[in-house]
Amino acid sequence: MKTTIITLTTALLLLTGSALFAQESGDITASANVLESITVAGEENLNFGDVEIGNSVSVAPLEGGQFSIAGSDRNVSLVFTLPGSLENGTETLDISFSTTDAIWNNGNGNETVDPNDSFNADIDGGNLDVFIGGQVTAATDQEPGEYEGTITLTAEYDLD
Amino acid sequence: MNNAFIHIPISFAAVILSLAITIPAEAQYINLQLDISAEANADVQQPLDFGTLISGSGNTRIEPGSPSMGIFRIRVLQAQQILFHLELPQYLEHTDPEINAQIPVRLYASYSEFGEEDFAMAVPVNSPYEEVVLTTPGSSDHEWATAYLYLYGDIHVGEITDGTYRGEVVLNIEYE
Repeated sequence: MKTTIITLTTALLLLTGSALFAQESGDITASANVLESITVAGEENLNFGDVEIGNSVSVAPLEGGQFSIAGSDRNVSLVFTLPGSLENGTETLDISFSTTDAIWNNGNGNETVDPNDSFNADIDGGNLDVFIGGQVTAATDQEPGEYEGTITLTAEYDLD
Repeated sequence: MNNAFIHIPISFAAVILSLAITIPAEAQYINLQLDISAEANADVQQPLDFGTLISGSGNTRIEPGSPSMGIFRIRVLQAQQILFHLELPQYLEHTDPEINAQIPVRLYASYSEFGEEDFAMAVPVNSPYEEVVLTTPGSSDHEWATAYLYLYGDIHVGEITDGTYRGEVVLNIEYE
């Protein structure tokens, strides 16, 4: 009889005790999406060849300068920094770029863009090529010589 | 011998007495217990998303109070108090199990008291291992009380493989 009562009492206490505390849990995901860093390499120079004094020479984009861009497959914002003239010491040679003087191609066809404005393009398969042409004009009093300038292409992911 | 002989009837009588007191009240007690059973749950109001970053970009921080903070909502009904603690990851890991790459992460947390939603009033959790006790308002019998737990911190992105990295923050709650 005593054993039965003690057992019942213990069971009652255990039941009461188990009702005092309860547990719940939840989880949050912390995440980050990492993109490969972009690299831009100048592959081909924009070379106008020989220009006669008093004449202009134009080079089409696909026959001109070429940049190769590598990175993750995302949309990128691109902008050229273009010279207004080429230089030979203190002498200058005018250079200009029309609204159709740039082309980008990621393997899915050519897209013509204006190199004077920033533009967007898609890296596909990790690669994107950008081509640039232009026009130089030698004045009638142009000093003969070799003229040079720098074209810079800056690329960054469009994360908006 | 005498002591044992006396002791048994007294304890027996005490048990009988307690049963006699308990049994008549049992039906009422069961009803009451159903009424006051405590409940608690935690759900995710917002994950902790560090966004899109570029390999090698270094440190990125989600500041306390930032709209990008991770937020848990803790809801309790009738509980007197709750105790919670967090399990925080030390790394975010690439979601492709074939790629062994990690992003070190340091996370911190702040919590609001029940009934307080303003982050400016949130209290920092001192360490990732701290067990925090929150007392509920307790006066309103049938209303859920809500508290919030905010997560923020920083990660360091070295020259690592591109892709998505994840880690889990686990919130454990005990309540009575």
